[in-house]
Amino acid sequence: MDWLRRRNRTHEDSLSKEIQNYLHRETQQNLNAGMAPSETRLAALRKLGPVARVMEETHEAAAGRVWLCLEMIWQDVHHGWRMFAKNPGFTLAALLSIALGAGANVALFSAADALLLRPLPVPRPGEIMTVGFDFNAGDFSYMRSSYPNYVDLRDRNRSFSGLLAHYAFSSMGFAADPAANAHGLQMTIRENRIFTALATVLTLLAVAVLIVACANVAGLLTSRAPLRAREIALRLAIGARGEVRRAIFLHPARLRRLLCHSA
Amino acid sequence: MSTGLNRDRVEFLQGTLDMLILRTLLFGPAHGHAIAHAIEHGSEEVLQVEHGSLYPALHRLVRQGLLSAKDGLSENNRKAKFYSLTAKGRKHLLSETSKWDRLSQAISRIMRPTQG
Repeated sequence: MDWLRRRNRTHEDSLSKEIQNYLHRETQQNLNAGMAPSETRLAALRKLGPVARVMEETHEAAAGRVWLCLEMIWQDVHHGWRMFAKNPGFTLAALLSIALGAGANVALFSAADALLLRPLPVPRPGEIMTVGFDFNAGDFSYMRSSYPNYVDLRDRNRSFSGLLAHYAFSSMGFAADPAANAHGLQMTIRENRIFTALATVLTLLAVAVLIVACANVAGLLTSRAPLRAREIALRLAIGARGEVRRAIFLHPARLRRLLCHSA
Repeated sequence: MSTGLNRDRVEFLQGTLDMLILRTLLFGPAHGHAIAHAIEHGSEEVLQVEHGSLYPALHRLVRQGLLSAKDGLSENNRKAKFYSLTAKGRKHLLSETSKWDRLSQAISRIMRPTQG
């Protein structure tokens, strides 16, 4: 964004020259008209009006609305960076909070994504079944199998092309003909949903972590409000109403952007 | 401001100021100071604006492509920014002038019906 500043400075220099030129001419003209030399410059300034306001309004008129908007955003961002630089402790705490929250989220969601949203990396994921004996523990039913049962099933069944036992959630996965069932034993065959429960838990956890992180930063920002009261009062007093409002709403957005840059 | 004719002081509408600037530049390029005095003198000092309010108008007209600005040397060899009408500005002035004519005629017909 350096080009923006350079462009503005060039414009400002040129405009300043133009105004100075006006004042010079007007002063000269007053002198020629016989005004007391000590009065000429002041009279010229009065004729022009407040120089700072003229510069400001001319700049706005020359820039146009789109450009002004860009400039405003740039000012806000710039101000935000300065505030970050002035309060490194706060910045670090806020960044760390969001970083941890976002990081935990990414980890949890990528786990949920791999487990739940993507099909298993096998040719026909629909034919993978979970087989086991149903156990009811209150509201919660799960499937499991003893090792001898597993060995028997693995060696003797004709319904599945293969079988493996795994520890997590005490179930067994198979690759086989989905229409088959296991005769003789009181077994349950289900579609492979062992990870569904896990993924749901993970997602809920991720949401909770994100909420905690956000609340944390909100708390940080709120705790700083009394510290900033003086600054905000001063800015309001000199007429920066819109700027202050934007600063309050944009500050969190800027934190996030800073995080993206540092990541 | 200086002549104290505050009662006669006409508050400029933005469009009116634009039109007057364009009209002033019909005679050739001029810098801000000259334009301000041309408007003031041309109206026999009735139309008085803070000359500073001229500059936003000038820069807006440049942005709109109705004027072009160029650095040059003035009569006393001093650098100055000269404004001149563009083709678009000339066309705009023409349409604004006819609009103004119709408006002022309509108003004067109402205000002074006997002299119609």
